[in-house]
Amino acid sequence: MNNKCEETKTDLMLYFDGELSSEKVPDVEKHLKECESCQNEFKQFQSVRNFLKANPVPEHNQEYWGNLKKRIVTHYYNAVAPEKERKNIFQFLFSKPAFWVACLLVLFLITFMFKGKENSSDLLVAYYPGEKQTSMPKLKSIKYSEELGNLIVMQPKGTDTLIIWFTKKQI
Amino acid sequence: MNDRLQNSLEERELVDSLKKGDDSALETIIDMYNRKVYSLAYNFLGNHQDAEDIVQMVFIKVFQKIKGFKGKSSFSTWLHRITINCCKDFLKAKYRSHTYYLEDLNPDDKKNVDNLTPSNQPLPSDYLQDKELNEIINSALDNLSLEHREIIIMREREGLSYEEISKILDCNLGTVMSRLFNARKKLAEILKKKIR
Repeated sequence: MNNKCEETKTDLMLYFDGELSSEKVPDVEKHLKECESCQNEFKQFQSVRNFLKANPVPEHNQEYWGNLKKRIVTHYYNAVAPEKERKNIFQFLFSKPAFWVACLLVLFLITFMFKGKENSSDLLVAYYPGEKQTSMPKLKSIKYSEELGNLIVMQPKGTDTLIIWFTKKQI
Repeated sequence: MNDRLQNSLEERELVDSLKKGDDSALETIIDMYNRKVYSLAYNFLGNHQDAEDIVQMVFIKVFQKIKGFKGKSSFSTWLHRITINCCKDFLKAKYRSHTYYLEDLNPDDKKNVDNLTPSNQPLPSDYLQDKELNEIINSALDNLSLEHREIIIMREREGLSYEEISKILDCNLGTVMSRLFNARKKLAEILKKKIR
């Protein structure tokens, strides 16, 4: 392959694909006649083309084409469009930052209110066995617990509340 | 008004109607392009079943994404691009689960490939049954990278021009030519090995 071949390479491709301007065609054809290397390349490309074109797309049956439109439209409206609607709802929510800010504010207020109540009821809670409360309260985590005579004092973790359990009914 | 301009205007009207949610536009678009999409998908994947799946997938995508279509390229180019991408995604998923090469062909197929001769000889179809030939073509294409495969199919099987290919792939004409040149060389090598 010489310099002329390198120069002609692009034109040879264009010529092969029928995209070369007509004024350049004679030059390429002349080079092809003279150059064995480019001839071989051209034949190689021709072989590939012949091979690929030897088996065209087989015709699909008429039943397929007849039902195709209905199948796609049905699938779209039954499965895809409702899904899109659902996504739109979420998109609506995410596209409204004010909504989320309001949600956070409400959550914050609720938390604050309950916390306030807990602080205000920083008192002793007494449980009496027998009448209403029949068994000792079950607490998952106890910070402090002590038995003092006929009463048990407990403090659940994370609270300021003391629970006093009287083991005998008080008069 | 020439045909091309007329088609372009009709296409634009259809796209506008589809964006507004017009059901009849949706059906017209399926009627107009179903065979083109099917042909491209079949050429890419090599069998009816997969091509059918791709056709459905492509039109559903078109309806879902039509509002984002800005009209920078023609609708037809956009549709080709979606089809090519769907096929490539499909093949990537397929490769992940199963890969086979030309060497995996059974001995009978190899015997048939050995009968293949250069271009001045009869076409391969003279020796092989359609099904066998189809299998061999698919195997040969499977040995190409997706980049080479798509360009070979668009040019050799679909007969698209360089300009159309460059628009679909969103690259310049020089890239199309060099990629096509390399793809042809590579495919010729694969076939040559089998001819010997």
